[in-house]
Amino acid sequence: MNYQHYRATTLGRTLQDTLDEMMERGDITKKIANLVLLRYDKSISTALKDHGTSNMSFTAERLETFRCCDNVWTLILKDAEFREDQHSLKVDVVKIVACLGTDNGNE
Amino acid sequence: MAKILPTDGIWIPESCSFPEDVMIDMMEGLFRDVPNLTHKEYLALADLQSRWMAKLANRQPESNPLPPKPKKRKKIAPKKQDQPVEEKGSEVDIYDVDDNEMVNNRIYIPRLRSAWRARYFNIMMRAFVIKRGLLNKHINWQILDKIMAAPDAEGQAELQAFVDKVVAGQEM
Repeated sequence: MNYQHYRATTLGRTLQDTLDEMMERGDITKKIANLVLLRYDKSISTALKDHGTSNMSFTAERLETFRCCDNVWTLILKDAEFREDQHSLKVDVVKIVACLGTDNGNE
Repeated sequence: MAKILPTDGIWIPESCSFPEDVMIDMMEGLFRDVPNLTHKEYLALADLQSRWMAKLANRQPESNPLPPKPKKRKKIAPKKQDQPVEEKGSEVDIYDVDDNEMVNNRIYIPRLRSAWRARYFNIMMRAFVIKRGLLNKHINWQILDKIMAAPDAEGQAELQAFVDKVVAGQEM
């Protein structure tokens, strides 16, 4: 299953900005732009699956909100700390959106 | 433990090549899945790739906006049912008025049952009814349940009718 929420990443936003600019100039049609975005949804899922092998652990002071709606889990963490080896990253607020990895819901 | 800052140059190794991985896969997929691309569209996609990369190079990650805080619900106090407006009138000693004079008797009914609330009803009656305590032996749970379950105006009318009936029976 391909989700559109990766369009809100820096990678997705820059792609959309570029497509908008090219459409305004008439360099690309809306139809092609939509095809590009649909393909982007698929490609980023594939890339995360194939290339995202790093692991980080994290803890949070507080789980502010958690909810599950239509098989989409949303968690908001306050004062989280991510750790990888010798490094740590403190973040005030983290929003985690977790969806099913496959169509059949086994993963 | 060192703290990672966005500008300190420390990145997760895969993250550096990740955009390129996505872009290559995306372009390959587009050229494969959309076979009828015109030459112009083909060039536009190639141009898209370079423009996208250039834009990405100058863009730092942006924080997502925080979700709006849920509005606190205002506690709305339950509306109290309007009590019958107390008539402004001077109180009189019942034994100072004539027996047949009509007086307004404010009958108070306390919260004898848990479902009730304390209420009072302004009932018009002749003074002798109060002086002789004629109502006391006629008041029963049945009439109390009936008037206390009714809205104020209706309850007052029920009690007035009951009193009138009792008084009429006494006079006969």
